[in-house]
Amino acid sequence: MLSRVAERVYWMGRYMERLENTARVIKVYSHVMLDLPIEMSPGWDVLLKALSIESLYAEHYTVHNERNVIKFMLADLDNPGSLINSITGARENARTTREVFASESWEHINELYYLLKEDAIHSIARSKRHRLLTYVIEQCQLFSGLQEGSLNHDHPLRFLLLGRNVERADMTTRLLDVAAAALLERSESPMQFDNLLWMNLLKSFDGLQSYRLRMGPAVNAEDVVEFMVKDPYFPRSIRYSLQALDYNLAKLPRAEEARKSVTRLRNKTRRADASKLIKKGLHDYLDRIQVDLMGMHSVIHKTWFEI
Amino acid sequence: MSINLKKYKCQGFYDELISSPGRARRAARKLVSYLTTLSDEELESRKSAAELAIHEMGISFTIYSDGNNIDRDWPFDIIPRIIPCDEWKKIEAGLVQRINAVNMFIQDLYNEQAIIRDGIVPEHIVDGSSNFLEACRGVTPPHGVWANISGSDLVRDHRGKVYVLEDNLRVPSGVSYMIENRQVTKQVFPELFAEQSILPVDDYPLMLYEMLASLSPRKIASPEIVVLTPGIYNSAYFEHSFLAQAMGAELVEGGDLFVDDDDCVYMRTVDGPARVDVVYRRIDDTFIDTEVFREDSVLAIPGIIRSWRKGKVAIANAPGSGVADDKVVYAYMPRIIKYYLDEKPLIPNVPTRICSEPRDFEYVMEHIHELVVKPANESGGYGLLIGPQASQRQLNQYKKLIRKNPRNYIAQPVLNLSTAPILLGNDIEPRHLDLRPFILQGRKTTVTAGGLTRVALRKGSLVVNSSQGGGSKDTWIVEN
Repeated sequence: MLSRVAERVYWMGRYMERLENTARVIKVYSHVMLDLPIEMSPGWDVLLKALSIESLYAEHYTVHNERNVIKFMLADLDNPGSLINSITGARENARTTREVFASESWEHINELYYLLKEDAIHSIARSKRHRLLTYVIEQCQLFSGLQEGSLNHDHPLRFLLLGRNVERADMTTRLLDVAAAALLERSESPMQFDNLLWMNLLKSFDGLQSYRLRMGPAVNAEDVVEFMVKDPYFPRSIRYSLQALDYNLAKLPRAEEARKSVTRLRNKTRRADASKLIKKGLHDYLDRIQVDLMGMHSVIHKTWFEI
Repeated sequence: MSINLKKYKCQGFYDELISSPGRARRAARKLVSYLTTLSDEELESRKSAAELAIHEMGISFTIYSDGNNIDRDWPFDIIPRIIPCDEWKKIEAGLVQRINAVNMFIQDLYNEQAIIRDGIVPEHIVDGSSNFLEACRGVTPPHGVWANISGSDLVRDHRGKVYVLEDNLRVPSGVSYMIENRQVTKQVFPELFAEQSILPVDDYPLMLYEMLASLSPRKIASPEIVVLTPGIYNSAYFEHSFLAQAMGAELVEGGDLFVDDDDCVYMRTVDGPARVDVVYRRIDDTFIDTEVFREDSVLAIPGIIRSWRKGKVAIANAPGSGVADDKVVYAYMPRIIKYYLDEKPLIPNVPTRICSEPRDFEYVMEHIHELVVKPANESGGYGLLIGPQASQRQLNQYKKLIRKNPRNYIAQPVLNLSTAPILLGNDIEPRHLDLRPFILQGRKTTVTAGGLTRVALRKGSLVVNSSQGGGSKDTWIVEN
């Protein structure tokens, strides 16, 4: 497989995963904001911070209100992580690697691109927003299924899954960060509906059922963090994403260095202590994982794309 | 209601399917009688079946219009164009003869130049021609063949006689349409394929692969063959991708390849560098190597000409083969065939006046109002003068141009191209067309069964280019 093609496939995987998770993060945050009484509302800037785009936002907007933030996240071309930019990135990479994929996957991405181009800007109002985000998430899920059901399970799928899992691990840290910022800061006086909010977080991962099966019926901060960081079976936990990364790395040539760094990261998540992290330093912990994931990306880039 | 053959007006031209009002040609009889049995509804449903099939494949054509939601229709007419097999065999022999002569000619130009010494063609064909590449002198590519893939445009006059209108030796495109057209037609008229023997065309990628493999410098079981494309924004990218996929070859861009210290060409893969044996280039030769040609090319693989000259990589078509893709060379083709093969051309040229020859020059000056004047080095119909449609001022302007630089011009009579029926609503009407067969030459020589029929969809128009309202038809070589 050509390095150039592998790189584009990898980025396609990343952009599609980013698209899905950004849609999820907006959706869950919109719910959180609905559930909280206004005086306790953490503000829309928390969302920007979790995605590390607050300074970029400040270059274009002065007021942190719902409308501006949502517009920035859905449809703003100045935000590299906006839905419209993610789908554009996925489409650009898909159109230059079409000989690798089934033609349906190009059509699928293309349709989603036109839909977002048309509708994203008109979907800022809450009712429409919800419908759009749900649709985007569904389409991304469909795309994943299509790939796994039609792509040869050799190099192309491996690079797609490397992209997906690097991005997924990263986005899970950010989703957790949103929740942490919104909820944990008030943990000294837990509110009765905090658990409801943690439940919302799990729902945004489509993970409530899996959580109950793994952790039991009670939903609380400690168990949710434990579940999302280190559960070895839930496909959106950080640890699981890293396992999947390693599984795919193992099938590629010259993967020694990349596997070493993913093993280090896996150990870091395995040893994480949720109860301690909740009391102190969850945000910093998640930050460090994000930095390590960037390092992971560099190793992948150096090993296979930069020959 | 159904198609009314008697009302079909094709007088004055040779029609490919209908010989006289109400009468089909022999090879087309099954098709035509079948068409006339179809009701309006059935015709309509066949047409929409074709549109659906095209839409399914045709989605890939949206890549032409970057970013814009323009659904590019693939203009296709469902009524095939038919050529009887025995006639086709003669055409095929003529095309093989022609490519043999062309390749001996190019080999000669880059080596001994005997044909110039013997005064058969004028020296200016190499001397001062931008198509003659100094860097290719003294090279003999595998099998002595320079133009491995070519496409000759064939037309018929009003009596049905076949002529070569043009030889495309650079990077001819359109072969993927030929294959797709057949796939669509099979879905639309499956019954007809069962009833008669129509030569297949979908073996082209296999033929192409075998030809390219025969050029490999390493004699190994599966040489590494790549298709070199300028990239996604090239209008023929769909075809590049199509052929690469169909051959199981890598589709590469300039940046994917490099020449190492051992002068071999490698591609960058996730397994590390992989040696490349054959490059099927779909970019112009002067863009291929900044060490030798255009320094501003971003598509280039620096050093690839060095590698090619040493025989470490094969390039198809060989760099420099464009020297024979020139309208003046075309005009000399009958003499070139005679010179190398001592044969008469099996398919004639359209009678062509060479303005640098005194007798022809006089003739062109006197008859310019009835001729088509073409500049030697332009393609795609640029700089063309169609005498009968031109104003007196344009005629005078061209006379001046020719007088100033007679070498650069040729002139031909206006041809009454043949026609074939196209489906329009629920009826048929004649439209002009041509044919581009594709010829492959490596160790062996093969010709596609038929080729790409291009048809002018506008009434009376002679322009078949898809950019200018042209469409295409499936081409059937029918065994009788």
